[in-house]
Amino acid sequence: MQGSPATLGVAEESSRADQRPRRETGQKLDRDLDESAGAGRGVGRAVPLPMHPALAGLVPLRAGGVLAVDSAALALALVAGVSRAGEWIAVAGWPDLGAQAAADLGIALDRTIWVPHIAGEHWLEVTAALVDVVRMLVLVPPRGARGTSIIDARTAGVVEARLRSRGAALVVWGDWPRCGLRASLEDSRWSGPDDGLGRLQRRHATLVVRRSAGQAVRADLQFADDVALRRVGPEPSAVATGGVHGSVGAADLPRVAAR
Amino acid sequence: MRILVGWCPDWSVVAALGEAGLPPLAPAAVLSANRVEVCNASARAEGVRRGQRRRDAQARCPELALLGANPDRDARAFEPVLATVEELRPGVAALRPGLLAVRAPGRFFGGEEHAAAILAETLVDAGVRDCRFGVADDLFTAEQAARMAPTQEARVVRAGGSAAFLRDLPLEVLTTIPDLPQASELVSLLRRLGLDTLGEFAALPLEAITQRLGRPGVEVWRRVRGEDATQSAGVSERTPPPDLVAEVAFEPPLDSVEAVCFSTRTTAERFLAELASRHLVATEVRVEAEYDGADGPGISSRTWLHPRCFSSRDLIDRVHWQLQAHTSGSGLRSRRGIDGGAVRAPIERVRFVPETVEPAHAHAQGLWGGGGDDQVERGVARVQAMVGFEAVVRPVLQGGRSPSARQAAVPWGERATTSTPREQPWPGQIPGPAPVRVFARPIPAEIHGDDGRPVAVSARGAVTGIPARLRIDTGSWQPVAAWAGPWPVDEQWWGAASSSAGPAARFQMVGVDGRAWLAVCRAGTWLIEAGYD
Repeated sequence: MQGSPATLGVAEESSRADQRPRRETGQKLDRDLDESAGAGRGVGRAVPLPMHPALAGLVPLRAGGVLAVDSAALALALVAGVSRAGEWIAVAGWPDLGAQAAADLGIALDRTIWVPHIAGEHWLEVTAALVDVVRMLVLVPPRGARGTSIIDARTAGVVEARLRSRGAALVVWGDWPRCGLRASLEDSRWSGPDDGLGRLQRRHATLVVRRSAGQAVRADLQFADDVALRRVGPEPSAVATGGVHGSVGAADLPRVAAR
Repeated sequence: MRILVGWCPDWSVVAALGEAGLPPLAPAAVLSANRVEVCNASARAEGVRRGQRRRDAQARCPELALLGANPDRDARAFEPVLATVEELRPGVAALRPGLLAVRAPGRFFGGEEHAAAILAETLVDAGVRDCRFGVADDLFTAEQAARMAPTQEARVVRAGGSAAFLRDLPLEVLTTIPDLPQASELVSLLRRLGLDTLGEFAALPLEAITQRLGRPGVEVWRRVRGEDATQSAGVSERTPPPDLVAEVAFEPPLDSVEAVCFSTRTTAERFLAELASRHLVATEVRVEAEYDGADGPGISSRTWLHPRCFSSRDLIDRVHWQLQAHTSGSGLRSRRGIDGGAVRAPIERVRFVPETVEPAHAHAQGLWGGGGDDQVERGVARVQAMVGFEAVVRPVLQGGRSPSARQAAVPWGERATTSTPREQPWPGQIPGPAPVRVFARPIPAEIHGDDGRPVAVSARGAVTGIPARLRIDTGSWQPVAAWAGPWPVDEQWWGAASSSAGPAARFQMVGVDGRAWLAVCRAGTWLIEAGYD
């Protein structure tokens, strides 16, 4: 994903891809068109997704992929690029979505499908139906009775297969079994409040993207009220750390959402 | 060609009284911009006049019913009158609410006087007490004749007698011409020129009119001479609106939602085919289900919107949701009192009423399918079929002070009806980045000061201690790294005691884990309203 195309270029490609029927044509025609058009929303093809300018080049999320995050703001920022490019997104299982924050990040609310509550027995069908129509989906997975994840590796495989066949991507705010790509915000600091004086102004945090193979990528981000999100500091550095497993534990997961 | 004009005086007042459920002879006035626009005869008898200020009108007649102006209501109320006349004589033209024109019936009703009498009788039977008729060669003369006729009677101007009839009328009748905005200026000018009646105006030579008044003046001049051929030919007769309502009756009544939906399918297809034959599609449909319950018959009625246009499958889905919500009593919440009541009885009849139809070409599919939005609608319909109509929503921004008041969730396919405009300044709202998480139901929390006692806000807005540690819900205590506030608000103190009423103060709290929260302290209890996760 290093040296990914500029956001504008990807937007043009995706809009061009949208003018084609996505599934009605046969796979061969689709492949031919893909080759002629250079890129597009091909079947089973790992296309880079448009990203928020501050995250461009940091998150190697492609169409058909799954990314687990531990921060709500990061989850919204990750889907903002696709929404800016004119595609539909969906948010499922997240009853306390902050619409203003989403709009500030550049998400078009009129192209957002919001299913605030997904019950335990419906979540797989709802997720699959949403994956059919949107380019990116933010999912807060439903929890079981004791706060444990009810998603096992088999159902996760079903969703991943659907994602690959539809060319959509999934951002999970929470835990996802055997997830090869995780992003987290670490070392989060707020500036502005000063013991009663002032107000929240900026939030500095370090984005850490971990892959199952390869090195973790770190970059400093800043959330502020004038520009919703920007990258600060030096260019992202690849730091050798351990694998992904165990880095985002259950303790980091949104506790209140499980209520 | 002879023209018959029917006039219902003070129609705005009649329509407004009918809608307000007041007696039709009560003194009433319709006000626009705080001045009397129209008043009825009982009000005029008390001295209320057109153009009076509200205060003066009330002083003249204290029991005057003051009604708001609403042209849509007037037109709506006039529609049954048009339909009544249409049954006797097709080709009715609605000139404006309260005034209609029709080609005068000749020998069929035994003469023009008889025809007008029959129309008057029919309208009085239909509840329109005050109606007057005029018959003449042209529209202007017929309208003036109707205005001079006594209640429920007709004034007939004989053929070729228009000029003679109009000759003695005062110039002020020109102000009743609706498509002449400068009529009052014209009347004033003619008065200053020494003219008093229409006859004197009509006697002026055409060249003088053309030079002094131009083209609009010539049109008026032709009218008052009774030469208005274009007007008599140009009565635009309306086509009666087609009856597009489709319904199906069940005998015996059905008590299963699935059976009703199955039996309604062909009716839904017929309903849409009827629309399609007129090159229309429905975007808003009212579904009515009649039932005969233990406590008498009733109707469950609800209006459904579609983001694009209804297909027969969509209609069946809406029937299913509406009936299921009523039979189960749970599932879908009833919103805004649309629901006519719970259906716990067998359904006798289902009716589709098109509320809004649009031309079909505006919703035509592209050559290669409908594009992305079309698929999205289908996908959302599938999700709605699984989890319910109101479980799929669209986030909408609106005005308010707290983050939860500044956003709303609108069910997919419904229009966003925000009562709180976003453009207002909303003093007291929280500055800074918008919170990523906004809790619809705030989470209880505890905040203690460095002395170990709970922090509160006094009646004058002073904080009683420095927040040192906080606990959210039943979690563990954590130290407060930084805090900001308070932002005091006192909302809805005039209303009933609700969760958002009364004085409150908002704080931004940052825990040592780097997470920030928006906390509100109301009457000594702390709630977490939003999170800056």
